[in-house]
Amino acid sequence: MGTLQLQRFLFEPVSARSAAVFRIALAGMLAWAFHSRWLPAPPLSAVPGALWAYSHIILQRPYFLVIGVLLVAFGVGMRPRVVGFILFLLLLPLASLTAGQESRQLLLTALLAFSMLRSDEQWSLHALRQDGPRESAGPIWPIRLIQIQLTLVYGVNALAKLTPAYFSGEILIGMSRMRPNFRVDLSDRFLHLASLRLPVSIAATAVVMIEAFLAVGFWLPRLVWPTAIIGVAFHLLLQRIVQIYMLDLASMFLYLAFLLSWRVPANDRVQTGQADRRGHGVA
Amino acid sequence: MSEDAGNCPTITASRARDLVIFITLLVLMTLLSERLRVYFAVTVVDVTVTRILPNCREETLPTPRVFARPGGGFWRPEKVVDLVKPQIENYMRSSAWSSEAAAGTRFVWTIRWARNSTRLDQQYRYIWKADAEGQ
Repeated sequence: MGTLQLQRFLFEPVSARSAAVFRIALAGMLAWAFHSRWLPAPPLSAVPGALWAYSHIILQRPYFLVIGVLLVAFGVGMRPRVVGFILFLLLLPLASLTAGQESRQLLLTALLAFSMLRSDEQWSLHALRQDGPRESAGPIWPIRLIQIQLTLVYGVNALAKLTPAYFSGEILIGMSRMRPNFRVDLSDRFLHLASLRLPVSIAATAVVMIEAFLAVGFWLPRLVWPTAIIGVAFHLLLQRIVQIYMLDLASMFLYLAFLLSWRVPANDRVQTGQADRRGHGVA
Repeated sequence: MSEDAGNCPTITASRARDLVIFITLLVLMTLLSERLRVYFAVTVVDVTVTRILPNCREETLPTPRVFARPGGGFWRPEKVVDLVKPQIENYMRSSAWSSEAAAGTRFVWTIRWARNSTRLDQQYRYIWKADAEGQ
């Protein structure tokens, strides 16, 4: 990748409208993903002070009420960068509870990256007050981080499964025996789905291949939509095999980072340049 | 800022600073990505129980439901025993097996396990005596 290409990859202006859509969707997703109050997980639960803080402050109704108010403010675009960072700090302790750690980590990373953007240039209270909507919400690199996060989720999972034990199906069989959230018993070494009877080793190989494809496919412009469709189909199929708490939905939510059109139309670029010289700074 | 750069927005008014933030977050994300791995490894555990009466007659009992699916972790051998043994003790204290058993009856619990395999090649035996607090 040349310097110019790298500059475009990281610093191309982001469409303010797409940023607004993502902001509203992210607010809704965060509200759904963080509403459950679980107990703190180890090693955090072993720290006495932490347990006190969780039981007396963090897992209390007022704490969640503040988060709710801030999520609404974030959703309507009220100083989304400041509110986004505060939300990140408030939600951070909730990422170490006994359930949903992976999906919450995923969404918090997305929130942290997205909070860099001026996502209030359209469809926000700020946009209503100013003389006209701006076309850019800032450079695209925060969105790139979210896209890379999605690649990492599928990538590390595909890599972790590149073992003979996984390809042989032994791990899937073992998990179907051990984990209460498995909906199928693979002890006979076959996956039974409706009339389909698939050897478990083939199912395991297919899982690795699909995850590897999902890690790469989104980066190929022609394959973005087919990859998203395959991803959704994959997760729907998985739902029939194993009940996943939230990671599947959180991952599919991040598809938006690839599916939304982030490019500012060419005839709006001049306005973009003016907009971006107005006020910099993170918050 | 170059002419080209003039049309490209930044977050911090400096591309260099933006790049530093980008790379920092990227490194952090990569380091934390290990935590995002799911369903890639498992320790398979099987628990069976045999009752040995005072007259030395042996009978295999149905494994209680609570031990059918002990969980989906990827545990070290010592962790398997640490996890299952207290569950056995709890079960024996609260079940009718021990309260109704004649003195001298033993319950032999066999925990077998393997990591990433269904061939359970490791084993631990725990004997609970009806007239004592177990061994």
